[in-house]
Amino acid sequence: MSTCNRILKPGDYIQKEVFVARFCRKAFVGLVILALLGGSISIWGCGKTGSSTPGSSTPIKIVLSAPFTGTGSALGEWCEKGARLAVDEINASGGVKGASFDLITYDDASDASTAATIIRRAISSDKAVAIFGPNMSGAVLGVNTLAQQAKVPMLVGATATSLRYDKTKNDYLFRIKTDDGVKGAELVKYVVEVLKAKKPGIIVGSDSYCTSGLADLKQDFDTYGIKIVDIENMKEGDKDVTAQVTKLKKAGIDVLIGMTHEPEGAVVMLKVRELKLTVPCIGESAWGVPMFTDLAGDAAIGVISLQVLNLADPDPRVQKFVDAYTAKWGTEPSDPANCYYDGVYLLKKAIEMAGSTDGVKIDEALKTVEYTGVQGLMKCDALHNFTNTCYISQFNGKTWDILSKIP
Amino acid sequence: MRRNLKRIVYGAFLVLILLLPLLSRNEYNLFVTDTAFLNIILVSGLVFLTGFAGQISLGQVGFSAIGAYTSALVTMRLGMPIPIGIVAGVAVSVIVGLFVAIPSFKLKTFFLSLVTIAFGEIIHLLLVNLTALTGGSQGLFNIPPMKLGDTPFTNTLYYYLFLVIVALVILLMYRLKYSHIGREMFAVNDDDVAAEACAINSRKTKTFAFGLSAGLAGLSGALTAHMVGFLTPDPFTLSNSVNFVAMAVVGGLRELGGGVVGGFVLTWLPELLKLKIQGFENYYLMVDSVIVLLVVVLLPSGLGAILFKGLSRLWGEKQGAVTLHNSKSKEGE
Amino acid sequence: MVLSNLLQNIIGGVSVGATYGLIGLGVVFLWQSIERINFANISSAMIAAYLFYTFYAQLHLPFFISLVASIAIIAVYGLLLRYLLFEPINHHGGGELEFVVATVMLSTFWLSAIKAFYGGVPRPFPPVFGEATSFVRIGSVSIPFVYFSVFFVVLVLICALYLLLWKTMIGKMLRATAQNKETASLMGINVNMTTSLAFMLATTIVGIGGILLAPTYFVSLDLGAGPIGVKGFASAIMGGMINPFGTIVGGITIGLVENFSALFISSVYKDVISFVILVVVIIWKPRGIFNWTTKED
Repeated sequence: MSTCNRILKPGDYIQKEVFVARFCRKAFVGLVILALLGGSISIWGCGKTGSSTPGSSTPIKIVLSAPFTGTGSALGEWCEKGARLAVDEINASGGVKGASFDLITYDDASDASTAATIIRRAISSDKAVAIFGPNMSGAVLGVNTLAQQAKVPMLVGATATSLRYDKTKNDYLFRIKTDDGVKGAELVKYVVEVLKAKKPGIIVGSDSYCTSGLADLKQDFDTYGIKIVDIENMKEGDKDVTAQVTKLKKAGIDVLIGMTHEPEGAVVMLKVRELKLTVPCIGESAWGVPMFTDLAGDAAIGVISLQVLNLADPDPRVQKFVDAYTAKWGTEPSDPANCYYDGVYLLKKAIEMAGSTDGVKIDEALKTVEYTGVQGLMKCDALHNFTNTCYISQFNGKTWDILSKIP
Repeated sequence: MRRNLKRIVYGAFLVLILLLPLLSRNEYNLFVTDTAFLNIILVSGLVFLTGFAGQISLGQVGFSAIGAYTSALVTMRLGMPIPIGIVAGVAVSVIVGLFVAIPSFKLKTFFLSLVTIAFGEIIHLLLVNLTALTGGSQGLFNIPPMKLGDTPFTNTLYYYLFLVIVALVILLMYRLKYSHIGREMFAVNDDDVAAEACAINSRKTKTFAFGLSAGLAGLSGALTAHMVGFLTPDPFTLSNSVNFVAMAVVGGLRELGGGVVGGFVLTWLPELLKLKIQGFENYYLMVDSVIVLLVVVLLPSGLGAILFKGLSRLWGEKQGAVTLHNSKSKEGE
Repeated sequence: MVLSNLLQNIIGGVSVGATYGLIGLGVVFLWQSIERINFANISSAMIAAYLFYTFYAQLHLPFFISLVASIAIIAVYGLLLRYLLFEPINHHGGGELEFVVATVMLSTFWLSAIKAFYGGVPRPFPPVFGEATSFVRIGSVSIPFVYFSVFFVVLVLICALYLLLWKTMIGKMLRATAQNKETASLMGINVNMTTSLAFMLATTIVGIGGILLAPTYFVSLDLGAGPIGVKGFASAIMGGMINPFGTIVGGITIGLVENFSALFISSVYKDVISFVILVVVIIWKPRGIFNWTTKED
């Protein structure tokens, strides 16, 4: 083929060149095909055994589906490090009745399709005893029925209200982070009762976390009888919100609520400072994390936000966790590391209570087990939420000052 | 003797394919293979469009999305049975494909690719924003699965269904390739002005190619919707269109089996690379794209081309009358 | 609309648009040289930004050294691009289509490589162009200092390019080979060298564009993906794929159109509008917005 395109000079050893070229190519192709065949046969052939009683030395497999890319990219690292800190601590102190946890992590790219593939893999290939994550609500909506069908408990840090038990009726879905409805209600309560705002404006992102959060906020403001003066939309990845902030300013709002992810929040706050919109700005929990303050820099000073973890909380359990995390990973933790840390310990307690790694038994145990973790007392309520803890804090340029802690 | 060898090899291959689901106890691997079949359908359409007719498309997922959402909406909102939904999905994709063909009449490779990118992105944006219709970024849930009587299809049943569909698609492509339509496509691919001079209506040919590939993509999308049970706008992005084009090139753009080879190899490669070495989960995508790059650079005619050439040399077949060069026949390009 | 808001949008649009133009220049230089489109064009921007971030913010090297090192590496990358991608594809019989597919896969590779080494988390760009919160006041309008410095750098770059292309021998050689390769080589111009130069120039300019975009886009995967690459192509097309100034003007046009469509029409459909304009321009005026003199496709 390529010989047609080359200019052949007299005396070229055509046969040899062609032979060598073709041989190299064939060898390459042959290797690729062999590798693929070998790999697929080895993977095809494996079918591992199912549940086992703890106390044997077979490790207990748990799978973590976390967002390392996509709209949730801020969170993947925290999910993994929080879970792994717990797994390593537990394994070092004897494991779960002698058996150690084996944590497998996958990147679900913050989207439902990738997550669905991961969950299927976790269930059928890895034969996981329990699944942590996905962390993004949109992904959980798509995959929780898979866990339900396979009878594998799923503990998620996803917080949309559409994941409450009364909506999903999924016995195998549990939430280890405070529900958006609870957080949203606290936010609105703060805005109305403490800031005494009457003309709120909202800027909202376009993915499912943002849109369902907006629906909750609208409902909450309705109960106070306050009308939202202006709602502006932005898309994940947008870097210019001049138009949106201009319109908000024109609408004469007296407080700005941010219902976006971290980079978008930074973009908004930079523009707010630029256009001199001098109203209080308060964000949902995505604004209360280091990625937001890093990207926004000085523009984040004075911003109020919901938080799921505050490093300055004097509660001894929080401080112990912060110290252990910092010692192991070299950086301070952030939401949702604490949630997944709690989640792994919760699972341990449930397995011990159930006396088995059978999915159905663990599920039963999870419904009644009580555990006091970084987020306080965790017990499964009627909506399958384990916790309702959150903070409202204000950023002072270096840290977040706690304005109130709920409950 | 050689002909018997060919029959033995093909026969063994056929037996393997038919018995595959029964050999494995792993539902996940079966699911991946089902996904591979769906990708094969889409990529075959792409091979037809880009390899045979020479029109580049970096927006195929747009058609896939149209097929998927149409079928989902028809079965969910209008309560129609699934086959009707699928037919509707394919029909709408084909119609849209016919319109997308229009820019291809005047535009060449790069500019056409930009238009197809724009098409894909516009579809994605519509999916995210037309919330009342598409469910927005949350998407559509509880899409009815295919059922046998009252029980939903298992992965194994999907396997056999998709196998049949793939076989039909390949049969269709075979018939088209060796018909006058196929020859017209290759002519237009090589030089559409010269083709016009030979009384070939290049517009009609291009329109047909786009329509066909759009229909196949729509079929793939519709089937995915019912197999997976939910739809979000997330998978319908430019990077997935790119993946499909990569599958077509790796498989072999001018080969009938290009779609099969490319779809199968590049669906399974990322899975095989997900080795459970801690920390490797970050690198598997990188390794995957390097391998694809190497194949594209070193073997631009595709793995399929080498495979089939090697096979036909194995059983000493002489090259047939309708042999088409695997590289662009324009000299000095 | 209040004049101050209008002015804000104009200045913002011009500044960002000029950087789109720079990205488009990368496309144009390569097109003029080898008549191929590099879909991994935008990856050079992302790589350069991450390199600068690594040198300056992580390794704490001095600003000048970080800048020069990043640019040097990106220039060498251009050379590698020629010899490791373009030449082998030609050698093995691939054409325009294969090059498109290969460069598309290359851009995917860079995205996954950066993700593997730096993670998918956006990082703040060090405030080398001025603090994000420092503003310049013109009357009642306050404009971030960053816009001015970025635009200033683009102006300097364009002047440098003009001098290079029209006032030096090398520039003349580049323009000659762009017009007609065979004749140029007949005139004694080393076409091999000018081709390599074109590759290096393309990646370097786009790399600088990436560093200039990083304050706005953050040091993130957004710098190497989707929408922004398309805007680079759109700028190139507005300039008819031939005239560098047309490309910059095209980029500025896109920046302005984006801002104003967000203001007057809809912020959500802003990207759709850009795409629609792109398609309309391609179909209706493939020689660029102002009918720059054309070369056959």
